[in-house]
Amino acid sequence: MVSTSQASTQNLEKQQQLLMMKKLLVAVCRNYWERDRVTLLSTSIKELITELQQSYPSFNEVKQKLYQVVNQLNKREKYFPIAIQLIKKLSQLYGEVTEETQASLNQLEAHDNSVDIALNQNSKIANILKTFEQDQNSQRIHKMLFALTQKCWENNPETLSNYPIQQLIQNIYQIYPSLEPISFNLLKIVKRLNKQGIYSQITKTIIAELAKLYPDQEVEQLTSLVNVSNANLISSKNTPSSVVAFPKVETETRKHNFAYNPYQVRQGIMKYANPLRTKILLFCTLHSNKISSQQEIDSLLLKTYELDQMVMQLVQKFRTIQQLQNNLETTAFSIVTLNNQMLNTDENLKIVKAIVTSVKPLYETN
Amino acid sequence: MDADELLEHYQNGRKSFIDENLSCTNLSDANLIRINLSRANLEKTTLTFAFLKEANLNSSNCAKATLSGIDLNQSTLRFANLHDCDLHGAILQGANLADTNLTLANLLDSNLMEANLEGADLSGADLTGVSLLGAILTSFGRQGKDNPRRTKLKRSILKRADLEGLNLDNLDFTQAILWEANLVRASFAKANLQQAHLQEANLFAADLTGANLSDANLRGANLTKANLEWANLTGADLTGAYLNETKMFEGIFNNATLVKAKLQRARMIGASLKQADLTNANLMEANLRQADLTQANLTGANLDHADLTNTELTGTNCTNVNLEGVILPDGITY
Repeated sequence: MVSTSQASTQNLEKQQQLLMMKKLLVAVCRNYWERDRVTLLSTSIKELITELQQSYPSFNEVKQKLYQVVNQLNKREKYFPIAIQLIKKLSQLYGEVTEETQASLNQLEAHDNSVDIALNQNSKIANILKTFEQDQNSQRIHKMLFALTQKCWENNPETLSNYPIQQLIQNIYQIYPSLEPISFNLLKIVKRLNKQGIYSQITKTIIAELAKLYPDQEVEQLTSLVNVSNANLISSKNTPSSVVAFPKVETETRKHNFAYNPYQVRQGIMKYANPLRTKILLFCTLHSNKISSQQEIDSLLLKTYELDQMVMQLVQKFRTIQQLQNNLETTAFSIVTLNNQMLNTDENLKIVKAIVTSVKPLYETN
Repeated sequence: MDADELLEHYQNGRKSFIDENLSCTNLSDANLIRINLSRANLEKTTLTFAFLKEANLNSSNCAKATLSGIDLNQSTLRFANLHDCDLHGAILQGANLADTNLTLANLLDSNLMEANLEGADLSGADLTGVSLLGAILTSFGRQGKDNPRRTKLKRSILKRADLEGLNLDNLDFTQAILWEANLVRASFAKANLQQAHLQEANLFAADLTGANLSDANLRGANLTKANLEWANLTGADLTGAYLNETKMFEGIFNNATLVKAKLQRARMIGASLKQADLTNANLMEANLRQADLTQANLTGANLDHADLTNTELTGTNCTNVNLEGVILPDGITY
């Protein structure tokens, strides 16, 4: 038994189909696309068919025109089944072909069309796959596509092999309705990586290839987005204070935690440690050299680095939290002996503890 | 008084050095807990890593002083002159900085959590990477509502600063740099953010009611669920910004750039979008009732199931617009 809601849904669907049918008929008869619902509702199918018969004496002409109209539509997939139904009905009116023959012919044509679309899409994916596989950075492309679809970074070739490139491309096509969010998300991933230069180039290749799946998209503009980011990267190298415009967590050696919140990490450190002492400790750990004078602290040297950026560099440098802690502790003790300003070992170890506690979540794989 | 003299007196138990002249002295690493330096002259004094917890520096002159790494936790510095001083990596947690002059001061990576900055002048100060969690920047003075003491932040640098949940109502952020700043749930009601640089700032659920954001740069900013009711965004650049579910009732977006902006389910009732550029914007299920889109550019925009009841569309460019399920100005569904 059909429930009331089901019945009303079916009724609505029928009404919708009827409207779509009328839109097609108006387009065939009057050569324009009628969007006004009121006009469509006030126009009867009978009236349109009479008009159609006057304009197109033969069934073939109507059929041809109808296909032409549907092919010009954005939502041609949606309108094809309606056109088929219409042709079926019109074939009876024109009486030139039997219903069965026409229906099977129509179905065949429709099938041909959908097969065409699918085949076309598959051949595009195959071409993209070929380009990706032949690229010298094929492995990196694979990682980027993985990150784009699975929302996490993966370096393990075994895991990656479970996600073939072809499948990832298909996933992308299903997930993303347009090229723009792809470019945006790729850019976001790149910003978190160590080798931003290489990965920006890879992103450009990926966008250029995936654009084949999304015709009529502004590829140039999107790739220029990556170029801009590249330019920023290059210019930032010249100005150390802005080296890391975005937190960089990644790396090619470890899974990265995308749920990273740089503000929370910084807050966690600042609550328990002197920010400037923290920066000195981080600087010495990162650069394996010491700050031995007041002048160096006062100088512009440390002002060209941001606490955030140094913490992230540290995370990139050490593969495990234990390595990170050991290195920080070694530095904490070594600067005590060399620099009387850092004599307080306890305070240095307090800083180490604050850093380790704050960055620990970054080492926990999702 | 020179540094040695002060340290000797302090070690002998003297805590009060009111009105002392300590200009150009070096007191780095000194432990001066609870010292009273009110009205003291500390111009160009070096106090790097000095420990001044709970100190009194009210009305002191610290202009051009080097206070990097200083610990001023819970200290009081009311009416102090900190113009152009170096507070790089300083601890100012819970400090009372009300009515201080911090113009052009360098506060890079300093800890300003729970600090009181009411009425402080931070114009042109560098607050890159600071944490202002729980800080007070605006309140009403003793004189009441008619004479509020507001922190001045004109042309200040707040890159990647943490201002989450702060009350920043009525404050002046004109031309301030707030790139990638954490402004989640912050309240900017009637704040002046004219020509502010808010690229990629996180303004999730922020309250910007009646704020002036004209000519502000909000490219890629996250304004999801923010409140922009009666806000003025004339000429603002919102390219690629996230405005999903944003409340924009009677907001002014005239001549604003909203190219590729995400406006899904945005409540834009009565908003003015005259000559706004909405090319390729996503307005899916947006409520544009009574909005004014006169001469706006909607080329390639997605208006899927948007509500355009009584929307003014005179001279609007609707080339390649997706109108599936749209409620048209006359109330009829497309």
